[in-house]
Amino acid sequence: MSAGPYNYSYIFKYIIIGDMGVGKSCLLHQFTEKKFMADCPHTIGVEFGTRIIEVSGQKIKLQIWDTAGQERFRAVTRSYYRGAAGALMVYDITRRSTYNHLSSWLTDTRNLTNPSTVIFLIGNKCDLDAQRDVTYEEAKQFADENGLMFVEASAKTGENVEEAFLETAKKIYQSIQDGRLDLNAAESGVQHKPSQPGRNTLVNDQQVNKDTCAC
Amino acid sequence: MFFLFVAIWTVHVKTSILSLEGSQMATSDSEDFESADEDPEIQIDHTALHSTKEQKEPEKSSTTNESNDNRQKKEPDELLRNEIGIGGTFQTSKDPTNDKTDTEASDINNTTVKTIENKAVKSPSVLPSRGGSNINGSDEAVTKDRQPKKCVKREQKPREPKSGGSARKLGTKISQNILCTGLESESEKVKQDFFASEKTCNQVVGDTHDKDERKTVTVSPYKMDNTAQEIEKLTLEESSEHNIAPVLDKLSQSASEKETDSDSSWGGWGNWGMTSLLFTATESVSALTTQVSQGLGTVLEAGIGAPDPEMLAQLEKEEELKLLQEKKQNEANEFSELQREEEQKAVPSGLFGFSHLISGVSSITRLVETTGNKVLTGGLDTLETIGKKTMEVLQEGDPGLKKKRALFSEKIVLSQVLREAKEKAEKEDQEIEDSQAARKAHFETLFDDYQGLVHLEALEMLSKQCDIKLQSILLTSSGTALSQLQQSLQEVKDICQLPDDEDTEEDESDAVDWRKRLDNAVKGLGVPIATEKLNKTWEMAHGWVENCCSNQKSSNNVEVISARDIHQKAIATLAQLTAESVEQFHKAAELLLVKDDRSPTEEAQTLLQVTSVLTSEVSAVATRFSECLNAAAENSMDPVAVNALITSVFLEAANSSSYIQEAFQLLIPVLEVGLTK
Repeated sequence: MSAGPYNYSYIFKYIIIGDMGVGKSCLLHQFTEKKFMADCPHTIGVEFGTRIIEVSGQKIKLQIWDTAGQERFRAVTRSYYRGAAGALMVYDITRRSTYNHLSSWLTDTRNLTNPSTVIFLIGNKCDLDAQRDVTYEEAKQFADENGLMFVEASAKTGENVEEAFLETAKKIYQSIQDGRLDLNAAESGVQHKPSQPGRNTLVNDQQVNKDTCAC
Repeated sequence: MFFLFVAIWTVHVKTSILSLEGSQMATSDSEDFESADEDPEIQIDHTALHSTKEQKEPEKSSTTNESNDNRQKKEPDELLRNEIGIGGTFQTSKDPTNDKTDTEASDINNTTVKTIENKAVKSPSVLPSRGGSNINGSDEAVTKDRQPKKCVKREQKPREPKSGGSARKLGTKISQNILCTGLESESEKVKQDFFASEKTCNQVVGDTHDKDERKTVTVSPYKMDNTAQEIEKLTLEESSEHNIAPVLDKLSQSASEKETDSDSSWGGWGNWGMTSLLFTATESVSALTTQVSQGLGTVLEAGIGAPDPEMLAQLEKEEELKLLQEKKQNEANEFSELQREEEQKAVPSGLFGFSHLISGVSSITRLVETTGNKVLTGGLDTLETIGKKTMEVLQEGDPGLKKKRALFSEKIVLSQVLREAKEKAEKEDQEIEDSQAARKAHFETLFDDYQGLVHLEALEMLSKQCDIKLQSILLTSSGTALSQLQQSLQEVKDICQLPDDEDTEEDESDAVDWRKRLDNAVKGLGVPIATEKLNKTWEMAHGWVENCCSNQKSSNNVEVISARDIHQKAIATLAQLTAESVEQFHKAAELLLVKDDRSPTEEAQTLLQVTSVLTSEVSAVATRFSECLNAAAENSMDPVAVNALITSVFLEAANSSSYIQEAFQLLIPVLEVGLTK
């Protein structure tokens, strides 16, 4: 049910992308619920998660779009990239194929998001070090080459999960502070001060009503 | 400084015993006190005007001085002073030794006057405050307290050699007193003198108080600073006084030793030694007490601000009186001493020890009495000073204590103040609660909380995406393909046109019916739509409403849910249903887009059915909740407010329906895209 503080200053849109079964939904669940979801069903299209965090004394609501990794939803999920302030690109360190597909995901992200979008590379399932298929070094090198932030995390143990989400938020917030991110731009993925709930929010942000009226 | 005086005076007392045999009738005791009894203001004038004259003719007899003083007396302490004064005059003319003593006294006076004059030249503003305290021994003590150490030294020197003479002078007075008044009336006279002077003192004190209170109001911070400095000085001087004390003690001791030597001829060495020892102890105690009380008094007095003449005069008088009292008491002591000695003379040496014991006891008793009296007087003075000072501090920046009185008068309504504060706090809490409650009953916020908004956003994105795709296809296609596509598109659009009012389907539907209809409608879509969530919410809502209504019907009012709670629940339920509906539309769109085999017309019809079911269900839920609210309104104290809540529920139900319909409209491009496959 609804609970928690609502007087946040920003809404950051995150999108979690990556191959099927790398643990995107589990990462989200770990971050929002601090629990590990053992048998996670396939995501249909996109699922959502929210959590309010604090960066530099500012409360920020993270609106996380957890996309389906299945290839058949690829076309659908591409629709959701737009306006993401942060993109968490996930691969499975025990499955090399998920790592190999990163360049494809990165291309999509680069094409479908704005330049200021923070891309964070997460090597999930780092708790399964014995089955490791991708070394930290090579992933780190890939991240460095592409200017990505990188961390190896585990949705199961929760290791580095918080860090990944929070570091992304800090980077975005820094971009806002530096003026690199235009809050007024529709695709910035950041909404400022939505703390006054009302019908205006819906009308202004989504123009749903307007579209409907036109019909 | 005062110590010094006391010490000297101790010597006087001792010498008096010596001079008893010689029966010198002269006295100068009265002169020692008379100037202190004078009105301070007149004294100042007198000092200021005649100081030069006095300096020029220091040999002028005390008689002249006295007559001068007498002329200027205005205060009602004349009784005492006249008595003394006359006595003094009478005896002075007789006795050449006394003349000498007087000259010495006036010497001292002149020294003081000089000092003060010097000071006055430097800082004329200080003169009035200090002029009042310059005449005799005890005054000097005060004066010196207020003057730098230099002064203290200067005055000490001439005094010390004179102590012998002064002692003689005092001694003669005592003996004279004894002879004049007789042994029996001596103590009574002491009493009389004391009461007379006390009367005067009280009057002065009264006057001073009045003036004092008026003055203290205007004490400026600057003055306070000065006072602080003065206090510091005084503290320094006091410490120097303490340094002098042991020396003075020694002095008195040596004097008593001398006496002891000479006494042995007639009193018996051991006997007198004992008493003198007792005396020394008495004097030390009394001196200490007086000094302490005086010192404290001076400090506090000085702390009040600019010391005005009246106050000083009062202080002096008090001190004088104390001294006088002391002297008289000591005289009495001495008298008993003398008596004892006489007795001792008469009594054979064999019985001597016994009488000495008795006399020792009596002297101790007297000592206790004297000391107790002094402590009491000193303590009262100190208390008075403290009281004055307290009043002053209280009145600072608050003349007449108006503000403080006002403050204390409010004490009566303290409980009210507290009650108001409590009410205020409660009101604030209520406001916060209200805002939270308003938030709880705010449809959009709740809709967002149930992820309805973001699903709608996602659906919108998909819809736009599909629309773009459709437009590009329309642009690229041409001829019959285009016209066929356009026809199909129009067909879907027509199906998706929602009827203006669907009253036909507004049947009384229960949970099972609704579920069946929804499941049937979803079947035609060909994609797995999770209706569980919606069904669950629906069941929960119906269960809640039924429970609520049954509670309302029962007579047990304790269980009745408030209208506000019902309203909140209604809005929350509507928001949840709407969010879940939108979510299902969104999921349907996603699934349709990934569906291989599309049949947009069927899909459109099914979705229309679903929309119809959902909207009707939303209004059914709203109706159930408003029934519940209506029942609550009957019980409520404020039916108007409850009616407003009912209106709000219907408004949000309409809002909810429009969201569902909007979501459905957003699906049209998704359906249309299916036609292009």
